[in-house]
Amino acid sequence: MRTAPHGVLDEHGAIWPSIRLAFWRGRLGMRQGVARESDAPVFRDNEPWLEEQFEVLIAVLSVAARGFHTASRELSVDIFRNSAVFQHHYRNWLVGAGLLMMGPNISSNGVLTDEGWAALLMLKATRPNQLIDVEVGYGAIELAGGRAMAEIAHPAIDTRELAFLFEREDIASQACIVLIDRKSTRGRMPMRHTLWSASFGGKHERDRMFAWLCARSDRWDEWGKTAGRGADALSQHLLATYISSVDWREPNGGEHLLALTHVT
Amino acid sequence: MCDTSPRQAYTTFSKSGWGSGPWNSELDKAVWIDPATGLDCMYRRCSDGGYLCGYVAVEPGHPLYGFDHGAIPSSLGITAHTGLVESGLCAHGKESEAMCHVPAEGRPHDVWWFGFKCDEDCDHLPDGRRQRGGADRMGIYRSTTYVADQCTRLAAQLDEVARANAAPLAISSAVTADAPVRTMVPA
Repeated sequence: MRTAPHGVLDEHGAIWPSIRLAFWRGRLGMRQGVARESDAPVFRDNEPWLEEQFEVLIAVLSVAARGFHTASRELSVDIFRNSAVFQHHYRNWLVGAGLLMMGPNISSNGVLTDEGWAALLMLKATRPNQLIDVEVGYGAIELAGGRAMAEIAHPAIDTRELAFLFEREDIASQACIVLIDRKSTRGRMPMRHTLWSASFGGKHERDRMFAWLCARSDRWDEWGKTAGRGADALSQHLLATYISSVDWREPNGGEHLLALTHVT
Repeated sequence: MCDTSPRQAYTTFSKSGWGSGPWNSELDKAVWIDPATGLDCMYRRCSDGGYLCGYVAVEPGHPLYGFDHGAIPSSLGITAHTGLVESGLCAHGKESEAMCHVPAEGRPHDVWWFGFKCDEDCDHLPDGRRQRGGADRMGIYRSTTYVADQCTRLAAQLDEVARANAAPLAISSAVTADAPVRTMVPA
């Protein structure tokens, strides 16, 4: 594999826009994106979902690289959102892809093949700017998967100045979004007054809704006033707003919501 | 039935003209600490019908502290009687009647109350008022025993939320050690 005028040339003569895509598509045979099969391919390696996938791969390869055993349960919780099934499948996939070796005298984390080492170094060296300073692991995966919330917030809105603020919060182990009235006058001391909340089946779903809200941060103060008339009032308003924001001619499963984050 | 040995007890209502009923021998306001959860509990009689309202308070640091009652995630299943209808800090007003309490020694003043009212269509108002639609209320009178029991249940639910939030978090640093990646690169 070597550089070419417009990207990276692989050993089969294919030119890729980046070495990451050459590895992902050309070497591992993975799909480029989440678009439908009929869509023309769009060669970009900075799709947030793809960055999340790369961060998962970096994390798993790093565990194998560091050479001492990490409990399977620990990895499952930390990287695979509590799915031991997904973890086992992923490890077996890496073995099949030739990046990891397993064996009777090898830790269950596996050991990296030479190509696994090369892939790990390449992926770490080509991490996007916003992740360079983030430690490999859960935090980076969450950040990549969270679609860099701050970047999609309304550019003209400084959320620090808003009276009402949507925040992600885990309540009793449930992934929630809450709406805070930051200028509540209740009581003798400033306090967080929560006007509205919604719980979700998991952090992933919660974060996608949060991304949708962030893209509309210019409306938060108005929505806060709506919540002042009752949490139900805001729930109904958000539902109506969300429904009206969806182009139902092109429903595309869960990924459709991600696209909405760019339509303010 | 729960232990409601009140720390504060008040009887202030004149119930003449209400007819006979359990309300005649009941307290009009009581504040106690739920023995199972340690949460402050309270009931008080309301002047717009003589019915009872029940309350449970959470302290700063509780996951639902500062939550409007309508903002509590429905998936938590927190409810009492026919649902929570009040929330807030201690109200101003007469100590013997208002939604307020005198905290026990060493306990915070600025607790956050969640409350329910027993003035729904299914409830009887002891002062003989007519219900909103004009028909006489024929519901059940919710006694201090009932309201205290509902408070106990509500306290248990709120305590469960706090316990769930305080559960140890998943280990989050399992794969942050990347130094070996740099030192173990094959030549």
